[in-house]
Amino acid sequence: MKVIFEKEQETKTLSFSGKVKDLLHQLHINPETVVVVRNGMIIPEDELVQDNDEITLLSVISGG
Amino acid sequence: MQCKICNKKAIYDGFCQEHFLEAFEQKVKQTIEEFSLVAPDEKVVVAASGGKDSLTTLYLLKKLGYQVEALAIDEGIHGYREHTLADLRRFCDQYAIPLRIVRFVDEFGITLDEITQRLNLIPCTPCGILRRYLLNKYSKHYDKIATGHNLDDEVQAFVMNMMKNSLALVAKQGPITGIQQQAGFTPRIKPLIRCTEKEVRIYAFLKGFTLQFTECVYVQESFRNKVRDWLNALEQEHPGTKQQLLENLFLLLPTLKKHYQKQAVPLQQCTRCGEPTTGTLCAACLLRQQLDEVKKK
Repeated sequence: MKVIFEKEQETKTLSFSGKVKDLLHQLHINPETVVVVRNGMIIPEDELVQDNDEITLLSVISGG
Repeated sequence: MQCKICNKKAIYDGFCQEHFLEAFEQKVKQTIEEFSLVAPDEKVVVAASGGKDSLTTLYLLKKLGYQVEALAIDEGIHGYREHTLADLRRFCDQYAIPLRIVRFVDEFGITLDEITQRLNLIPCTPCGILRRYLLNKYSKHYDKIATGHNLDDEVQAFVMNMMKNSLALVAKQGPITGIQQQAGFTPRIKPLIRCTEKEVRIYAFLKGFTLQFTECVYVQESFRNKVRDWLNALEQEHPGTKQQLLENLFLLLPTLKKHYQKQAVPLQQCTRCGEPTTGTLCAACLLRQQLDEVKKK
């Protein structure tokens, strides 16, 4: 799975299949702080994601 | 999970994309009506940065039919402000919203980056003083200033003010800031106050507002950052925490505002710039005095 981190402008490749909320837990990311996007669409925390997906984590927190 | 209104897939909070947008816009409209934030014939200027909150505020006020313009402050924070202003210019062109940009360097002869180097202050302090000064100075011919402060911003400020033992600052919070209307100050309103930061982010994404991710280069130094992280951690474990804090703030505000109105100090004109102040010099001119003294050394 390819995960793009908007805030850090990084991309990581990892092995994962399961729910979005479990992916975020594995990445130690609080769901309050990101919006999860796959194929240009927002996906909810209970959505299943596959190992061949490309996921973008948009940062909720911005500004000063 | 299905949308609670239709059969489509829910994307957030039990809403599909279409009904999320509808619910968000309805929430903002109701907030404006509930607190009488702005009348249809009033001119509103949005304190705009180019971030998701101010773009959303601009977009919705225009959509709801208000006379709206944008006012942006360029503090000269290198690596941050030039990017957000580019987004703002593009947005205002797209939606035909008049935009004015006021720069620290033109008004004060110095940027925030330079102020930070010369004075031993957390950057947020001089930034806040001078931004507020300029917003006030350039908003006098409008009826209201709208800011993009969202629920997270408001609750963070509430917690910070309580931790610093400052009920007087809490009294100034709310959908309309300040304790009472005062000559020389344009009232400030927060149409997004009931919307969480995540909801605003989702709305901006769904509406296609083109934003680069930006965060102020000084943000890691702020106390607010620590409070934000703490509140988000609490919200994850106990959903609804932030919403409840906001509702309790709203319950407290009428009593607090009434209490502090009695203690309000009459305003006079700053002896240096003529802007309203409780002292002889306004906060911005006091800061300028500090900078002048540093320059002499």
